[in-house]
Parts: sequence; structure tokens; C-alpha cells
Amino acid sequence: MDKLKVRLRRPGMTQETLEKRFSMLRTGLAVSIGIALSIIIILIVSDDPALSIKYLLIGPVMNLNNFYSLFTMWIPIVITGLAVCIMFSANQFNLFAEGAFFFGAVVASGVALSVNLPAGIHPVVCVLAAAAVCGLMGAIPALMRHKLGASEMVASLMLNYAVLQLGLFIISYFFRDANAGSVASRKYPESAKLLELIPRSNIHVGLIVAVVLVVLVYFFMYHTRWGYEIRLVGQNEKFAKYTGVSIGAVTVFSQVLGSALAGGAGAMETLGLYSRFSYTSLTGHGWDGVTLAILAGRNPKYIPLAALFLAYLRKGADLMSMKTGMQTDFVSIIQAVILVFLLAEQFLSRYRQKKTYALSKQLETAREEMGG
Amino acid sequence: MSEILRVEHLMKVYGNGVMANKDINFTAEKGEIHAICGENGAGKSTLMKMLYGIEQPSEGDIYVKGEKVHLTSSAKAIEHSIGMVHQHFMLVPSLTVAENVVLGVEPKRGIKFDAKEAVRLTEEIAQKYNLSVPAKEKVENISVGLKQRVEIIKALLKGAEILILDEPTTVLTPQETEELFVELKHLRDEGHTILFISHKLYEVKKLCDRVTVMRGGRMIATKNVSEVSEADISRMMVGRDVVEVIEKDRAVPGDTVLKLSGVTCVNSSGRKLLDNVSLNVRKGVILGLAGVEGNGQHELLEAIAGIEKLTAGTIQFHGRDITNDSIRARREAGVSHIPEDRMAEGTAKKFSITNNILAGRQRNPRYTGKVLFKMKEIRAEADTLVREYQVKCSGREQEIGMLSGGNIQKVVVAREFSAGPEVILVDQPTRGIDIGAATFIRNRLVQLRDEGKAILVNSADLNEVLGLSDSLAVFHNGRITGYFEDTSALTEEELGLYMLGIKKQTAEEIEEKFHG
Amino acid sequence: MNEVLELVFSTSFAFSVLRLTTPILLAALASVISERAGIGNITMEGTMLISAFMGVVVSAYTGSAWLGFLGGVVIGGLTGWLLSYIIFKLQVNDILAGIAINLIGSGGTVFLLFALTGVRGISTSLSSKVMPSIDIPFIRDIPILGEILSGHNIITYLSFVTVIVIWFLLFKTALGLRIRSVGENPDAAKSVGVNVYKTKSIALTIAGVLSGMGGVYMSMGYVSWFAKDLTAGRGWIGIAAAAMSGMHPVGAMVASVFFGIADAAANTLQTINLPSQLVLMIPYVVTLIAMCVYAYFRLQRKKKLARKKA
Repeated sequence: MDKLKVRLRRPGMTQETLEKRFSMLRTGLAVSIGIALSIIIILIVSDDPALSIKYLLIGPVMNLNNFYSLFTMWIPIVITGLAVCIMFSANQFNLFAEGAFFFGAVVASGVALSVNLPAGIHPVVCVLAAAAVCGLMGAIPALMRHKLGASEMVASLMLNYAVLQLGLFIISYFFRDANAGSVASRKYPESAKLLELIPRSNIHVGLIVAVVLVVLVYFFMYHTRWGYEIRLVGQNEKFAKYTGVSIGAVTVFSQVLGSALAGGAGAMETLGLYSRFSYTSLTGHGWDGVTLAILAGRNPKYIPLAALFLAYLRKGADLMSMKTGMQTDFVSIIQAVILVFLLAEQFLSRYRQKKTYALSKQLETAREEMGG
Repeated sequence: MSEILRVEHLMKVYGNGVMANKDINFTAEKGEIHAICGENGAGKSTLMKMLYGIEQPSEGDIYVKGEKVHLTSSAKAIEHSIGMVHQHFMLVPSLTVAENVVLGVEPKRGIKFDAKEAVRLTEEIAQKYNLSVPAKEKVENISVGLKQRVEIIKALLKGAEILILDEPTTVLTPQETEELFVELKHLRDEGHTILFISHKLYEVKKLCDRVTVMRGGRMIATKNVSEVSEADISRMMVGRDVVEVIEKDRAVPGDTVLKLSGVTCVNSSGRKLLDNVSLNVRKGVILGLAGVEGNGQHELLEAIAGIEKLTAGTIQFHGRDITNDSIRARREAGVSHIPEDRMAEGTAKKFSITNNILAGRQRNPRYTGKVLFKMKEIRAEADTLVREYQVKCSGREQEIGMLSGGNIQKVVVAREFSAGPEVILVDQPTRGIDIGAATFIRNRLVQLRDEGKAILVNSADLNEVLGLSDSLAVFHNGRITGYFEDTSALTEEELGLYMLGIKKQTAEEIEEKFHG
Repeated sequence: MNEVLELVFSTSFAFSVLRLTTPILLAALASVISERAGIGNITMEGTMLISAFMGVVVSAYTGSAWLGFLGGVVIGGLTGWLLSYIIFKLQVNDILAGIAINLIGSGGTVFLLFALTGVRGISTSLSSKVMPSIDIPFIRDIPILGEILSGHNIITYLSFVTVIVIWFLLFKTALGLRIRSVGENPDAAKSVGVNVYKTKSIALTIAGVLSGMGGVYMSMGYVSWFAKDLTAGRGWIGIAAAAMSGMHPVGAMVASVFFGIADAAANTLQTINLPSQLVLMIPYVVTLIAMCVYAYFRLQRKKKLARKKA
């Protein structure tokens, strides 16, 4: 305890630096606990724990192909992560990112298959169309919340299920390839496909788009009045109202924007990785976005890192599953555990209180000594 | 008399690092009414929370009837015969009086809740202590005075011998206060101990046997009430001689900036918050809004700010009708607003000081380009204001929630005062902040008046309203019952009569003053 | 069109309405009791999946449907308790905590299923049991009504009994008084020594038990296996139903039957020549519309009330 005090006597040790350290410590511990838990699960379940753990932990960097596919996984979830970031920043629990991602792929497929355009422009039009349609759809839960006071969360989930069926309907009635074994669209024309950045790597131009979006969304949220208003509303809606912000406009806008991003991500995913539309259920990318937004503390800056972590975990689990037959869905358990520990205000709180107490007592003494 | 409660070396540091209580020592006797006095922020509430198990002391001990106790929860406090009547009632509105009274010690028949027995128990206590209440009525339908009685019955039913009352008269009418005092004296004579928390000294003089004074989280002294005067207590509370005079010259009234005619507001449950209010506000004048809390002063400010929508009447700003303008339009036209509750309406707790200052200016071309913010300008402004308003902080990037109440309020005030306003709406400018910050803010207001701003001030602190105001409007039941062009001749007694609606000026009289 | 009408006005349609109402009703009741205790509980979907899975596993390993039921309900209760622990002891926002639990529900069950059986996504390799259906004497002999009301799975009957039980619990017992008080004014409850955490925890555990029953019904009544995303959003529809129930068990029942009808309509219409995907949209679109209509009228009523008093 005494040692602690001496250490705290360092000048510049303020309440905030203390807080910052705790949040870093908490993130680190949450992630470590998640990894430790994965290892425990593997030890219990796997027939060959050593091999499983090896693939989980270093599989993604064992060879170049694995490493490439890590980034293939990274691209879509970075964008859905940003999308959810924007919506959650306004304190709107709109979970339509999941549906938007799927429906974005549907819209992009539709445009890809029904319009003829030159190669450079075709995918751009597909992606923009997807973003526009999904953005408009994202306004539905937003307006239900703002105009009627209904729960945007429940509404967005219902919308997810609805657009899943709607999308499947559109694909199977208008774009179905009768020769394909299962329900799938016809093959995309070459002009609609996204440019591959590294040959045979599955890393498409979406990588650049994702990186650019991280920067754009970050600047949007932290350096423009629109982003500022979104965050202000999210932090304290009443205060925002008192300073003249139009709550309805901001919340609806944030959800339209978020849904549009998620829709665009779905469009790029299907045009970049597949030769035809072949999803039969929701893909989970939207939910990953939710995890990432929370992991990143709703700050776009941290989304790439958080996404890399999740992609790594996923890829590791995939490889493990391929090599040892272990199932990959345990990743969602790990995800849940990390989220809980990360969000837990009380986690480490006793340690924190002790430090805060020591700091404040010390400041008090200093003040009294100075004041005489 | 015998000692029933003793507190030794009590100290409390909150999670955010604020030290609210330092080395508190005092004792209470059986069968006395013991006042705890202190300014806002003196640490009274913290002390009471520790005595009722809501907060745990960081250091120190509490003894009840000579036995050391650990009050880790309210349940523990109740076990040790301590009861509390909170300033904000702790009642469940949709439940009946009887259900509220027995909550926590519900009578049962089999697995069923015994509603009849609950009513019987309530009426039994009510009769015994002469505190009649309608046991079967829902709490949401009864008056404030009755609610307080329900609170006292609640505590008594649970066997409270030590009863803590936290500023119980704030919400009461004078008649209800009288009744409460009779009831409390009766309880004392029955052998109960009452801790009466207040900063209304005449009430302390009238009701209490002993008084303990707190200041800045510390214990100052315990005295017999009969041996000290109100002025003595007051001196101990503020640590210097009583009434603080706000120094200012005579106002030089300018043109009318704001003209309200027939302003009426109705809340969602249909109650008239403002009822046909007409007012003129002129440049260079501080117009005080006086009244018992909840009589329309606060709503008037919110109506002018554009937060409360009018159901009738008009508001003119420089002769232009702004009745239907948005909040933003009004702010841009030159209306600033210090809201009543700085944490709920005036700041975003987790935002930095800079971001809090930016609120309301994010669209101002001085701080934003076509797309990006001009960060340099924003930071410079924040630095200037922090310096100018002497905000104690580690820098402009500090989270505002980490600051003390006074410094948070200074940031709010700095933001609003520096937005280039013509009209400043000020709601509870110094509630719950330290004297230094309060004085600073009051002096600033006078300075702004001298610069020709029109200022409206609402404050629960009567001294503050009287001290600051050049003109005064008194509110009762959403109406103006008195308007005084010049407050210097107005006595507190007379003001009181208007506040209670006993004395009233007619609409014609008030009207005349605006045009005369 | 005649074909449609015939299908909708048949006894088998009415029968399937009750069959489909069951899981929605149980989820709605879980939501009602959580909301009454002042918690935004969104874990019904995840809890139902966990319980559906548990019911299948336990019944398969013990050979007893009732033990399976018990297992599902107990794990449901535990999940409810876990949620309360995460919210109150670890102090996580209730919605985000719910998201975490739902993650475990959707991914965790699939993983455990694989760990146990080595099969992905569906439990048909397990010989799990089904809860019995019951023919009610006398009622089954009444024409039409008998065909509709008799012969349901026992959990369907239980779910309607539960409406009364929850009503009694909330409005006629001391615990109910406490649950309502911690929901409406937790500080008041705390100040008279009511253990707020314990009370809320009990409410959430009960909610978990109810969701658990709904989950077991899905895997051991509605169908006889567990599969990925078996509940298909019924937990969420239950929340929507609760939102338009006035947070009253009877209201929840009415709203749930309404959604049951939508669900049954979707099932029935699938048999005729309509695009199946569009038909499967019906329950969700109906929920969205119903949410709007309910919220709209609630808003109008509020406005009217204010005008009337003014």
C-alpha cells in the first residue's frame, strides 16, 4: 500500500490517467480471459488439444494463404463494425446491420445481373445501390422509434427476418439459376466483380475501401459537426436537445448512414468473393459489427484492431476445425465472455476504488499542506 | 437523557475521488430534535446516507445505543431502529398508501399478500401518532404533505426510534410545515429522536433542541439551540459574517428585448404550468423570478428557450414573433440558457470540457469549416474560457464528470455567457456549488447586466434572487401574482405573502407597470 | 381465394394458432415480468435456444421427456439468474448483457451440439423425447371446439395456465408487490430494506424459467429435434407482444394469440401456391405493423388525455 502511494506521488498522475489505465487493463484482461477460456474449451472437447491450440493461436500466420484470408474476413466486419459504431454512438440500438448486410448483397446481385455497365463503374453502381436501399430500410426502425416511441431494437430485428425472406424471394424468383443445385442466382458478369488486389488471394479492392472508410468515419465522428451531434445525442439526449440539436434528424440520420454502410459491405462481400449470390440465411456479419463496436468502445479508430482480433480468432477456429474437426461456433461463446468482462463496470472496481481513494487522500493532504 | 447515536471520526470519499465528509464526530440523545445545519455541499446528505446505510463510510465508526454497528444497507439501519424520510419521496406511485407503508415487511396470509392487514397496520400507526392518512388511496393521487406523512408512518411501522428527516419542509406549504412540526414534537415527546436536516434557520430555532453545524464536509460545532441566535448558526455555516451582499450599481434599463403575452403551457397530464403570463424584459436589467419551487418560474425559462411548447400566447424577441421557432433558431438569435440541472441538461458527463463547450456552437462558422471542424479555434476557445472562468481542472481535455459541481457549473456558464447572447435565461445558477464558484457566477451576471444583456434569474435561494434582481416577478400557481419594478424597497415578509398567493396584484396593476 | 378462406376458417387452423401462440406467449410473459421489475430483458431468444437444446440433450440421455423438460426449464432459470448477475453484480448495461447471452444462445448451443454428437447444426442423431399431448375428457367430445382445444401438447396448456400464475404472482403476492416496487422506484424499495438485487434477480430467474418452457416446447413439442436458430425470432416477437400488452399478463396473452394467428397464417398459406418466402415474411411484417399501430394509438391516447385535462 505504501509503495502504491509513493508511486502515485508522481506528478501528472491524475484521475483521468488513472481511468485510462483501468480501461486499458480491463480490455487486456478481458481478451486474455477470452483466449484462456478458448484453450480450456479445446482441452475439454478436442481429441487433439495440442494441434487444435496450435492452429487456433498461430494458424492464421502459418502460411501466406491463411494470412490473406485473415484479411478477407477482416474487410466486411470492419465496415459493419463502423456501421454499428455510428448507430450505437447515437445510443440507438438498431441491429439492422445484420439484415442490411444480407439485403445489400441481394440488391448488388440484382443490379449486377440486370444492368450492363463498363467494368470500372458496374461494381460501384451495385454497391451504391445496395447502400441506398439498405439506408432507406434502416430508416424504418429509426422512424418507428422517433415518431412513435416503439423499440428500434425489436423493430430492427423483425426487419432482419423480413428482409431475409424478401431477399430470398427476389433471388429465387427473378435471378435464380435453374442449373444450380441449390437456390442461387445466376453468375455475375465479369464487369460487376470487384478488382482483386493480390492475385488468387481473395483480397479485393474492398480492403482499400475499408481502410478509407475507417479514416472517413473517424473524421466524420470526431471532426465534423454531424458526427459531433450524433455523439452528443448519444451521450446525453436531453442536453443535446437543450443546445438546439434536432434529436429526430440526428438519430434517423445515424441509422440511415449505419444501415447504408452495412448494405454496401454486403454488396462488396458478394461481388468480391463469390461468383453468384448463394446465401441462404443471415450471415452474422452484422452481429460481428455489434461485437466490434462494443469492443472498440464505439470509437472507429479502434475498429480495425478489434476486427483483426476477431478475424484472427475466427480464422484460427476455422483452421482448427479443418485440421482437427473441432467445431467453430465456440467463438461466439468467447465473444460473449469478452464482451461481458469488457463492459463490466464492476470488474476490477475494487482495485480501482483503492487507487482512487489513495489518490484523493493524497491530494487532500497536499492541498492542506499548501494551504497551511 | 441518554445517548442513542454516536458517530466517531467518520470520513467518506466517493468513487470519483470527492471527499464529502472529513472526521465527523457527534452524538444525539434520546428524545431530542437535533438539527444538522449546513450550506449546500456541506456534506449533510452524505452523512445521512451513511447513517441510513446507503453509503458506507471510508473510515470511522457509528454507534447506536452504545453498540458499534456496521450499516451496510438500509435494511441494517432499519434493524438498528433508524428510519429516514428522504427529501425526494421514496414512494411507489402506483401502489396504495398501505402497500407503500408495509413494503419490506408485508403481512401475508398463506402465499397471498394480506391487503386488509396492511390497511389495518397503517391505520393503527396513524391513530397512535395522530398522523391520519387515506390508507387505501394510491400514492400518486395524494398531496405532498400526505406523502410525507406516509413516509413517517413507514419508518415508524418498522420500529424507528431515530428518525432522519432530510430537508422535509422544502416541498411543503407553510400550513403543512406547521402541522409537520406539531407531529414531530409529538414524536419527540413519545421518546423518539429526530435528526432534522435543514438550512432554514428559523425552522431550526422554532423546532429543534440542539444543532450541529457542518461546513465543507467537516463538523463545526454542536450547540443548544436556546443558546445561539440564527446569526450565530449562520456564521458557523458560512464561516464568516452572514448575508452576502452582491455588489452592484443601479440598473440602467434599455429597450425591451423580450415581450411575452398571455403565455400558457400545459403538461402531459393536463396541468397548467404557466397560466396567461405576460412580461416585458429589458436590456441591462436582471429580472428575478421568485416563488415556491414548482409554481411556473422554471417553466417560463424553458418556454422562452423553446423547450416547453406554448399552448397559447406569444413570445416576441426584438419585435419578431419567435413563438414557433426551434430551440436552435432561438439560440442563434441570441438566447442563452443555463438549465436547472447541470448534469441532466447542461453537460455530457463523459465528454471533455472542450466538447462540452462546443455544444451549441458546432454549426457556427467560427468553429467549423464546410466539412471539418476548426480544431485550433475550438481548442483556443476552450483554453480561453477555462482560464477566464477559472475552472479548476487538469486541462481542457479532462472529462467534465471528473470536476466538482462548482467547476462543472462554471463550464456551463462559460459556454452560455460567451455565446454572444442578448437574453440570458438563468435557472438555479448556484445550486449545490461552493461559495467561491457561486460568488464568481453572481458577479459575472451583474457584469453582463452592465454590458446591457437582459437576464432572467430563477433560484430557490431567496437571498440570491433578492440580491441579484433589479426587478422581480413573483409566481404562484403558474401566474404572476406580483411584479416589482424596483426590488430595493421589498421586504422578505412581503415577498413571502406574494409567493404563497396570499397577496396578489391584479392583472391591470401588473400591466400598468410595464407601460408606466 | 376460396381455398384460402377454407383453410383459415378450419378447425385445424385454429388448432395451429394455439400451437404457435405457445412459445410467443411464454416469451411475452417473460418480458412482462422483467419489465415489471424494471429490466430491459432481451434474452428470450437466446434463453429459448439454450433450453431447447438442453431439453433435447437431457431427454435423449435419460430417456425421459419430463427430465428433459426439467433440464430445459432449470437451465432457463439459471440463464435468467446469470443475466441478473451480469447486470447487477458486474454492472453491464442490460441490453448489451442481453446481446452477450443471445450470442451464447445462438453459437454456444450449436457448438455444444457438435461437441456432444459430432454433427453440425441439427440434433436428429440424438433420440430425444417429446412432451406428451393431452386429450381433455369431455371437451374433446364437443364438436369443433374439441378439435381446437383438445389434443395439444401439455406445454401449450401450461403456457395458458402460466398467464394466471404470473397475474397472481404480480398482483396478489408480497413478492409481486416487491417486484413492481423495484421496477417502479428501486430507491424506494431499497430504502425500506427490500433487497433490490435479490428481487430483480428472482424476477429474471422466473423470466428465464418461462423462456425455458418456451424453448423446451420448441424442441420437444413443436418439433422433435434441436436445430440451429430453431426459434426463428419467436423470442423477439414475444418481446414485441409484451410491448403492446400494457405489461399485463392477460394483455400479453391477447397480443400473443394475435401473433400466433399471423404465424399460423404463414404456415397455412405455404401449402397453397404462394411464394413461400413471401409467406414466411408475414409474421415479421405483421409484428412491425402491429408495433406501429399500437405505438400510434398509445401516442394519440396520451395526446387526447392531455387535451382533455387542459
